[in-house]
Order: sequence, then structure tokens, then C-alpha cells
Amino acid sequence: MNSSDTALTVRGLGKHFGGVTALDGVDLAVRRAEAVAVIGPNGAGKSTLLKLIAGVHRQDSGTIHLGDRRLDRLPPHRITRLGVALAHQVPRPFHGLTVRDNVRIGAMAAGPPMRGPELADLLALCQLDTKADRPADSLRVLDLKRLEVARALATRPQVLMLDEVAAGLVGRELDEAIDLIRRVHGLGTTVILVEHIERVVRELVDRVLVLNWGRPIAEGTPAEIALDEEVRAVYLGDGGSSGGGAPAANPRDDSQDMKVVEQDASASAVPHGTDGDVLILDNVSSGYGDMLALRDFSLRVAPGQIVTVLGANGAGKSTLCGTLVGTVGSRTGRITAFGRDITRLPVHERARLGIAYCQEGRRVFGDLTVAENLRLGAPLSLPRGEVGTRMERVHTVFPVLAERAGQRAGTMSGGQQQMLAVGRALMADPAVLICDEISLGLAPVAIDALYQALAEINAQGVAILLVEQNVKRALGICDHGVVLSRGRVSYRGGPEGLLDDADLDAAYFGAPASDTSVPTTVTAAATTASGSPARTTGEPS
Amino acid sequence: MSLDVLAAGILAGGLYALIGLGISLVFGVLGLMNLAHGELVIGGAYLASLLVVDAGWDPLVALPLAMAAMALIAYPLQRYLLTPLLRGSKSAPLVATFGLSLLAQALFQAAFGTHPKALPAAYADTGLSVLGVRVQTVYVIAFGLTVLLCAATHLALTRTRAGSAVRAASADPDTAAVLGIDVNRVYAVTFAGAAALAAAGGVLTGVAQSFTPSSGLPLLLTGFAVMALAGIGSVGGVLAAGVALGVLQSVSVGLFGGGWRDVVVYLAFFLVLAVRPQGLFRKAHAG
Amino acid sequence: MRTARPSLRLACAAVCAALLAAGCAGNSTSSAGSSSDTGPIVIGTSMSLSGAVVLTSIKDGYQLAVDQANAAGGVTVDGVKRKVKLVVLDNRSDTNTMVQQVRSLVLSDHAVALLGSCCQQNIDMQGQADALKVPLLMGALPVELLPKAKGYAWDSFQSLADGADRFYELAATTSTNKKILMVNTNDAQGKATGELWGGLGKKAGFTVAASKAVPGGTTDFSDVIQAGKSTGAQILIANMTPPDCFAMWKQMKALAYKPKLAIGLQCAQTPGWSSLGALGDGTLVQLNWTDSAGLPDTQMIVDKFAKKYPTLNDLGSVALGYHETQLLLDAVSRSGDATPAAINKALATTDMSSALGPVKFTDNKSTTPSFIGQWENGRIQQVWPAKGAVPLKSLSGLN
Repeated sequence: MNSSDTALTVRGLGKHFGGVTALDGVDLAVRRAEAVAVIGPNGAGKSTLLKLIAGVHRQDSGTIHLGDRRLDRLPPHRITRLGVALAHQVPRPFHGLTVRDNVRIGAMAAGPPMRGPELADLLALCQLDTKADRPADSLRVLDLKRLEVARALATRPQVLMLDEVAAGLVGRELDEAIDLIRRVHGLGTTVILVEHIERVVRELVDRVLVLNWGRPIAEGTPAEIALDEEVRAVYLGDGGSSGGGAPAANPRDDSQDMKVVEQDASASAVPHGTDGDVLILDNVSSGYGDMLALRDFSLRVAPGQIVTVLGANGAGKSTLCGTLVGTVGSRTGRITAFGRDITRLPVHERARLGIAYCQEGRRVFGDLTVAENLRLGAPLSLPRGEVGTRMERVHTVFPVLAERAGQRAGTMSGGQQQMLAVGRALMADPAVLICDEISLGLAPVAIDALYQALAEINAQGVAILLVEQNVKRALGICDHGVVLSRGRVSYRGGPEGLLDDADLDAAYFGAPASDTSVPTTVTAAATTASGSPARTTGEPS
Repeated sequence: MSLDVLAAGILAGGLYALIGLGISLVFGVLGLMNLAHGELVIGGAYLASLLVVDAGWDPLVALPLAMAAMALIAYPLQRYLLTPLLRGSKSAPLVATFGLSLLAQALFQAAFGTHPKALPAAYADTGLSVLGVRVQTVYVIAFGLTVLLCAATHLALTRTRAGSAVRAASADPDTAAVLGIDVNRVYAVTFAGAAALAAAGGVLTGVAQSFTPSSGLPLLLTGFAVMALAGIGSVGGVLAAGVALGVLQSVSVGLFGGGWRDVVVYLAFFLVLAVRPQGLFRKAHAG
Repeated sequence: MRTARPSLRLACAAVCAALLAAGCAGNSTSSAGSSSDTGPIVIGTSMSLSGAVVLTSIKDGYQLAVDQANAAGGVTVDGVKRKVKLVVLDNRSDTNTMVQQVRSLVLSDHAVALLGSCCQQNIDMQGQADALKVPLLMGALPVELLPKAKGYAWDSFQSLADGADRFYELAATTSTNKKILMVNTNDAQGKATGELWGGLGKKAGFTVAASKAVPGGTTDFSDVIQAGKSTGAQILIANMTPPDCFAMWKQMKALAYKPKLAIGLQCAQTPGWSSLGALGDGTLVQLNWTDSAGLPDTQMIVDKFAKKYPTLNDLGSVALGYHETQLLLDAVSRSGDATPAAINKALATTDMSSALGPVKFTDNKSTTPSFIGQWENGRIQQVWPAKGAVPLKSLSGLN
């Protein structure tokens, strides 16, 4: 590949944030007018890659060239002027300005101001021409995304980078977004996509780069990537351990069959009335702004049960957690905990009812000591002695927290912080524990320890709602599984229904069989899609 | 420059620290720049004047009552006015505190008139000689009380579970709420605590100097300078910054004359902001 | 991830912006009056009636004179009795508001003359009077400070030099070492006052042993006091805002600096001085009016307002407002047609005695007498000139 043919070349790119390696030795060469996708699970370093190219962050090692021009030492505005534009996942228009002015201001960032006809063409290209004089605040989500793309295009980029611009779009909106990117690409613009929605990748790009933990693990056409075992393992998550099956060390394996039977008697795939359930969600929809991230979702968690909620990035898992604990307001539906309607209850009051929540990213208080973090988990009104008793109980589950009691939480390793987060949640003596991605970013040995602890906690009678990307781990421990796909349930039932790779793929990545226009899929499972009994489609067709 | 002048600067710094502590607390925990802090200070002085001037109490006896009263007034203000605004735009609560400041000034005028008032006390105009250095008794008392209140605040924040809750709500309100901490209440309690500290500063200001309905603004600026020097989140830093400000004023007056005092102080202030935006007495946050 | 907190820098900027926005305030409007030949004669003023400065006592003086004139059937202009309508607008000490209000007074209320309020606003108002060609009668501005202009502003008040002279006359009757510690605010007015008082002091045989300039809002005066002690100055002349004087008086006492005479210019007149208690006793103040000097209408003013304004200085402000309005109404009556130009002309030939004393304008200025008063038990009493005065007491508060 000679340089005159190459739009953008990235060599040996590395970036650390504190002790976390976000990117490590990434190479990427993009030809002129090519469309390339960068995919990978959460924390893979995809956004970091785009931000390094755009100059928002500085790399620690490696180089970035646009043609022959070295970019990685230039300030962001110079990079923009040289022809690299970045459109963000969450559009941030200038409020109070019209659509046209928003685009015009984007154009001012690069060179000569955009003249009338050129501006009109751009607005037409992005199908914003009829809305050009509206205030940007009045736009619905699809048009906001269009505006974000238009603003990026206004800088007349050679290379357009799109950071999950299709996130939060469904159905026809998604078609429109794909069309827009296709048109832009058709005009000769080089496109680099970071995307979770498999369809977008499949329909738009020629080549896919897969990152995991900052490292490239595969590169090829969408079809090739779809067949790559390693990519599948990363996406469905087995914590990086070889073999891909359920971990043998899992203490729940022995009793699993019995549990399944038990669970099947109390709470089967379709919710039905059981007064003793600790958590009931009834047709709940919720989301942020204009976007509904969770649609008509129903779920029951019986006492002492472990229910796992699986799904790809952006499937609505974290929104589900937020809706349950109250940080995300629900639009419709009803949430009941311990027989009480909590749909409108404030966050802290739900916590006091006995719903403990381990957030994604651990969220320990880094400036406070380990002991202080733990004590915060207990209600303030709890007598000192009782707090001590609970702390001892947590210490028996996580002995390391006793050893590190006086240490500042922020100085501990990721695994220890995660244990602290779980321990802190246990301090509330909860009846149900919600864990959001507790294995994310941890070494397999730390994950083993955490899952062992979860089994112990569950054995003490605490129901657990486990939200995971690490499918094999979660299925190894749960009584009941739900797979979310783009805000809707695509599978509901015992874990055995997902143990087969093909069934899992089908539940995870929607129902490609219903989408006849699609030639290939990232996941190779289309042919067996109809096998699973309780599977529903991820998206209305 | 004589030792008397330097000693006066150090002691005056105690009062600056006391006024800065409340601003720093509210900004650190709520992320709210309270433009009505000066009026909380003056409000404490006026409340005390009811007991001191009209009923003949000693200001130091009236001080705890003024603190409690200001806390009782501040709590609902935060809980039912400012907290709901905090959920909206970032500027709304700032503007609201500015409105509260104007409203409070108008109320003070209506209730107490515009003439300056002072809180009479035996120690207001007596002095002490320590090792040949003569200082004003009231500033010694103020300094001691400031150290006491700073220590109490520090211990409350670091040694009690309620204090941990405040620090948790400050660091990550969402997570604190998930843990069952009523963040709105934590905010209101913090604001009330800051108001109580402000009232203590107001009583001492009233004894050492005087106050009018509009004297809140210079106090706000002083407190703000202290907070900027100290950085957020360190009670000890606030005390050190207050003393540093007092000494800086004394030194600049001694070296360049009184006319240059504000120039030197604000120059130092901007230098600190430019070079160490996290404050003089705080380590930079990693990441 | 944790949400980003507003940074300290951002907060600084926000505070600065918010503070800049301060000082904007609303005002009231009044219905327009007509200036037809038989309708009421409108005179107006824009003054600070709320906010940091409240001049209600001066306003009461204006109203007293207007009410008296209307009770007598009005002002006789060219043989016809015409009522007087006084329009008072509140500008909350904001100069921009004042300018707008003055323009609306003249242009929409058709005021034929303006009354001044106080201090710096008088100077700012003068420009408006000249531009609108409407006479402005002011007090509360030492006659030396009236700028030379186009002749529409008239100032009848005491002079700075007179005030200083009266003080030095008084000081000469006491036994001191004639050494002065002078403290001024570090603004232009403070500097001018310092120079004037210093110069006159030298002429009168005093020496300025130490002179200090302090910024407004100073609370720590230890270096000033140090200077007073080390030079042994026995006479203190402090020209500062009240809060600064309060703090300095307390600190002087605490640090055992004991002058024999102390005068507080600008600062000790406030009724709030009494809240210093015994510490304020013996401090001297400048007065433009006293109830004991035998000035015209003293008894009437005391009878009407002593209850509302128990202190001498507030009563003096009533007298000042009354004085200004009487001078103006006198000129209106002599103007023949009550037009601004005619009133302005008539003011030049004023020759009458009003609440502050006899008035005759030279170069638009007329100097009224100055007095020195002394605080004692929460009251001010005239101690100089000797006529009507009580004997000078010692500076007991600081000794």
C-alpha cells in the first residue's frame, strides 16, 4: 500500500490512562474512499483510537499520518483543518442556534466559510434541508444524529470518523442513519466507524478491525470476522480463559440442574403472579432524552434466585439497572419490590428497602478508606455494633477488605475495588443484589474469586440480578437468563437454552433470518436461529 | 515592618479562614458557588445583635444561638429551593444564590436600617501583650474559635459516618444515592453547617469591626480568595490559606503601603489560580 | 464515571460575571405632569432611597417645603398661585439609573427644575442638568467640588476649607503637641481631602506627623496605629467610610493608641456610631447644621422630625432638603413664567436666609456655615463655633 493511496496510517499506537492500558500497539491503514469499522467490547479502546486520531488525547507511543502529513503532534483544530472530522455518539449541538447555524459554525472550524449552495447541498445530503431554520433543540433523535454528521462534514473532511452514531436508533431510524453514511461514503469520503450495532457494520464497511483490551485481535472482511473464533470468544466473554466453556472451578456447577428445575417451577419464561417475588418489572420502558433504551421489559426475580441479564453493548442492560434502582426514570410500566410499588420512589429510599446495587465501573469512593467505603453501605441509623457485625460478615467473604481496611480505596487494584463495591453493597444487608458488569476489566483469577463470593452470598439467601457481558461466567451461575437485544427481550428461560453457541448467537445478535436484505452476518449463527423455543426477535420487522 | 503588624495579619487570617470555610464546604460538596455566603455571615451578626444590643447578652454567649438559628434558616433554603435547582442547569443555583443575596440585603435594610452596627463587648477594644507584641483580644478569641471550628469540621467529616456520607455525596452523588444516602439531605445539612460557620464568622466580625446590610460582598470576596488559595476539600488548607492571606496583606501593607494591599493580594490570587488551579494547599488530582 | 464538577476557574469567572451584573435595579415611574400655565409646577429628583445609601431624611426635607408651599395655596408665579408637584424617583445609588430617571423627569414629566441628592451623584447629575438646560439645585456637595460647567447647577452647602478651619480653630483651644496622624481612603477624594486638610493645618500651625492611605474595606489598621504611636501624633484626622472607622477605633483602643483629639470625616456622622458605645465618646464630627446655632426654622424642623430622626445628623439632612427646596421655590416664584430658563436666571439673584443660613450665589456657589460636633452618650452636640456650643469634652472613648 503506497502512501498516495493511503488516507490514514496508524502505526504502533499506544495510550495509557493512569495504570490502565487503553491502546497497545494498534496498526491501521485506511485507503482513500475506504470504509473501515473498528469493533470490540466495552473498554476495548475504540473511542480512544478515534480521539487520538482527532488529537483530543495524545498518544504515549506510535504515529498517526494523514497521507504523508504527521498528525500526532498537532493540536485538534489543526487536525480538523487538515481534513479529519469526528462525529460523536451523543450529539451536542449549540442550543438556541438553528440547524443551519450549527452547520455553518462547524464549517468555520476549517478554512474558508461555507457558501450558500455548498451549505444547502450539505443540508440536503443530510436530509436536514427542510429543518434548516429550526432551532437545534427541537430536533428529534435521528435528526440530531444527522446534524452531528452534518457538522462533521461541514469541515470538508477527507476522513470522517463516526463514534457510534447509530447508538440508540431503532427500526426505520436505523435504516435512515445507515443510508446517510452510505451516501457520504459514496461521495468519496473515507469513513472510519466505531459501532456496536452489527447491522451497521455489516452493511457499510469493507474491512473490520477488532480490538480487545487495547490490542488488535483480528482484521478482515465482515464475513471473515464473523467466522473468527477469537472474536466470538471476546464478544460472548469467557473472561479470556481458554476453552470457551463454563469455568470448571465454578462451585455452582454441581447443583445447577437441580436449581434449574426449582426455578422453572417458580418463575418460568413468561412472568406470572408470585407474591413472594423480590423484584417485579411489568412492561417497563425507560431511556434518556429521546432515546428509549429499554422497551416493554418484564422480569421477575424470586427470593434467593440468581437471574442474569445478558446482551451486547447498548442492549439496554445498564439502563435496566438504572431503572431498577431509580437513577433512570421509567416512562411506562410498574416496578414492584417486596410487594411494594417503587416505580416513583427516589433512589436512596429504594436502596433502604433492601435493593443493593454494584454499579458498572465499581464506583468506590477513591479518597475514602476501605473501611469508610464499607460503612457507607450500612444505613446511618444502624447502631455501631451492628455495623461492625456486618463488616465482619463482609470480611469473611472478602478477607482482603479486612487487610486493607485503612487503605484509600483508590489505591487498590481493580479486582479489589470490585470486591469492595460488592462488599459495600452487602453492608446494606440486601434482599436482592444487582451487579452490573462486575467482571469487566478484571483478570480471570479475580473473576473466579468474585463469582465464588457471589455463590456464597446467594447461599445466604440473597437474590442476585447479574448483568454481564461475560456470558459463560454468568450462565454458569444463574438460575434464569434473559437476553436483551436493543432494548427488547430476545431470550428468556433457563441457562441451558443458551449453552449452545448457535442459540446464544441468535439471541444476542437479533434475528437476521427475518432481514432478507442482509447477505452476511458478523456472527455465523443465522442458520440455526429458529432453534430456541422462547426466543423473540430483537426488533420489530 | 513590626511584629505587631505581622501578628495582626496572622490573627486576622483566622477570621478570613472561618468565612472561607463555609464557602469551601458548600462548593466542595455541592459544587455550588454560594454568592449569598456574605449575607449568611451578616445574617449571623444581625441575629446576634438582637440578643447583644437589644437584650444585653455577651456576643460569645449569643454566638452558638446565632449559629443554630442560621443553620435552621439555611436548611430549608437548600432543601426546597437550591437543591431542586441543582438538578437543572448549572447556572440556575448560582443565579438563585445571587438573588438570595439581594433579597437578604433588602430584608436587613428593612429590619435593621442601613446604618452600621457593631456588637459591643468588653474584649472588642481591649488588647493583649504577648512577648512584647500587642494584639487585639477579639482577634485572639476569633483565631482560637476558628481553629476549634476547623478542627470540629475536620473531625466531623473524617471521623463520623455522617461525615463519610458527606464526602461520598461530594465525590459521587449518584453512587451515594444508590447506597441509600439521601443526597438531598446531605446537601441541606452541609449548607446548614456552612451557614452556622458563617454565622460564627459574622458574630466575630461584628465584635471586631462593624456591619451594614451591604457588608456581605467584601466578606464573600475574602472567603472566595481563601477558598481559591486553599483548594477544595481540605479543612486544614482553608485555615492555612486564611492565615496566608492575612500575612500577605500585612506584608504588602508593610512593604508597599496600604494603597497597594488589594493589588498585591489579588495579584497573588491570580498567580495561584494560574499556576496552581487546585489551590496552594492541595495536591493535584491524578487523571 | 463521576460527573465533572465545575472547576474552580470556572467558578471564578462566574463569580466575576455575577458581581459585574450587580447594581442593576428597577425604579418607579410616575404619571406625567403638565407644565401648562395654570397646572402644577413639577420639580423632580432622582435619589437613592434604597440599597446601600438611603436618603429618606433629605427627601422628607423636600416634601416638607413642598407641602408647606401647597398648604399656602401654592407658589405665586406672575400673580397666579400654582401648586407644586414633587416627583421623587429611587435610583438605588446607580448612576446609570439616575441618568435615565433625570431624563424622564424632564422629558416626560416636564419637570422645570431638579433637586440634587448627595455627593458624587450630584456631580453626575450636573452634566444632565446642563445638557437638558434645566436648573439643578443641590446641597450635600462641598462647594469646592462643584465642577465648572454651563451654569445650570447651583450648590448651597458648606465648604471643605471652612470645615477644616473650624476644626483647627477648635484644636488650637486645646493643649496638644499639634502633631497630626492623617488617614485617608486611597481614592481621589481621599487624596484631595488629605491635601486640603494638611495645607490648612500647616497654615494654622499644625504638622502632619504621619499620613496613611488605606483602601476602602480595610479592617486591619495596625500599621496606621503603629505610625501614630511612633510619631506621637495627638490629633487624628480620619477620612474613611464608617465600617473602616469602626474597625480602626476598636483597634486603636485595643492597641492602646491614645490621641487627644480625633475627628471622623464621612464616617463618624452616621447614627450607627452610637453602637460603638463608650468607645465613640469624644469623637468629633463635621456638621452642616445644628439645633443650637440659631439657624432659621430650627424649632419647626425639630418639632416635626425629632421623633422620626432622633439624631442631629439626620435632622441636619432634613434641614438640608428643606433648604434646597425653599431656595428653588423662591426662584420659581421670582421667575415670572416658571420656565427652566427663567428659574435659572432667578436663582442667580437669590438673596434669602433658609434652614442652613443666608444664601447668595457667586459663580453658582453659596457657602453655608460649618460646625464641629462631638459624640457624647450616643448624641452629637455642637462644640464649635462657641456660639450655641457646649464645652469640648476629652476624647474619653480612646483614652
